[in-house]
Amino acid sequence: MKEENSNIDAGLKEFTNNSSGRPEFKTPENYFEGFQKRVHSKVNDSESWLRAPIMRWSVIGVGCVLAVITIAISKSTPQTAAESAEIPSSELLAYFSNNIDELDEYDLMEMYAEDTALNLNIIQQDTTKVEKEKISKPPVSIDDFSEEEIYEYMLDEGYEDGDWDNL
Amino acid sequence: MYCRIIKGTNFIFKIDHLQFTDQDIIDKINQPETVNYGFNLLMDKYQEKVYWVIRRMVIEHDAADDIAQETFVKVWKNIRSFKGDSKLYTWIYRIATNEALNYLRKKKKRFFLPIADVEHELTTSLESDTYYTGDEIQLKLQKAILTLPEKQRLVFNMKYFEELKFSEIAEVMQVSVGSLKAQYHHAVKKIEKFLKAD
Repeated sequence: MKEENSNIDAGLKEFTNNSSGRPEFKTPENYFEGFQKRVHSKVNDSESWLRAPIMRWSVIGVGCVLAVITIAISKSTPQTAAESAEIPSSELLAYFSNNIDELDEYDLMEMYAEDTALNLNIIQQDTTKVEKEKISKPPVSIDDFSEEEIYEYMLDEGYEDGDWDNL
Repeated sequence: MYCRIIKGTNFIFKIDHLQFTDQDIIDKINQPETVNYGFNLLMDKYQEKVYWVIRRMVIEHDAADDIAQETFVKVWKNIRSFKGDSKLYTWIYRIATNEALNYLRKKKKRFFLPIADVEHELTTSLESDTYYTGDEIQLKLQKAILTLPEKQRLVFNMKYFEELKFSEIAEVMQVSVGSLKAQYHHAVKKIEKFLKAD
């Protein structure tokens, strides 16, 4: 295998055999003597950049700005949630019903102006209930009551026995 | 024997990096009291190899110097996480070659250069480089090499000049040995064709 590889560049080696053979690339004098020192100073520079006052204060400054932004965002988030939270209309209705005496006409007008849809809902809700009740309960007739019930009722109303025969 | 004196701030010590294997160097880096010594040993052993791999890719000395330094800064930052899954030198070579390829890509993007123009620019900087002293044959070969695509050029340089084994190059570039052999073969054919035509 080694022979095979050396055959690959045999022609090239023959060509370069005619050259002077001296090193073609040079370095400045004593270049390698000071190389390690330069590497060490580069290593120190790269490690001490955080220790430099300007860099340190820059990092602290950036950290503070980020902290302020984070706090501002975290504080604003619950407010937004509260603002955007919807109060159920049933709770509002209950509140208005319980405190109807404390509300003056201006409050009521304002409430109406701000939330007409809610009022409409209330009206619609009531209308439906009434209609359902009307539909579900058939009209009352005299046949629904027994004679005893009618007798007791008449006595309660102040009639005396026999008075209602002439009615 | 290769010996150097390294001057620290308060002390002077001698390093003979040939005494130390890669594992010795890693062990020293992993101990807090010898971490700097270990890193100096590592640089002593690999700084020249790393520099030349990079230099042959980017041609200019200043760029090669920057990239070589950056390579060792990255080695320093990541050496503690080096698990030893690959050999130390192939790991360092991988960082170096990636840095060199990134530099060339950035250069292309920065100046909106097509590949042919990068190759032309590298050839121009080779001819005008005061640190290039190659003769006519060497210059001809370098111009031929600069016509290759970047990765093929990298394979060719590591095999032809650095004399790394295909298995080692495969570990550096994380490709199969078979594909590397094919790339090297194509590279050599292209260079020969260029030299015959020139």
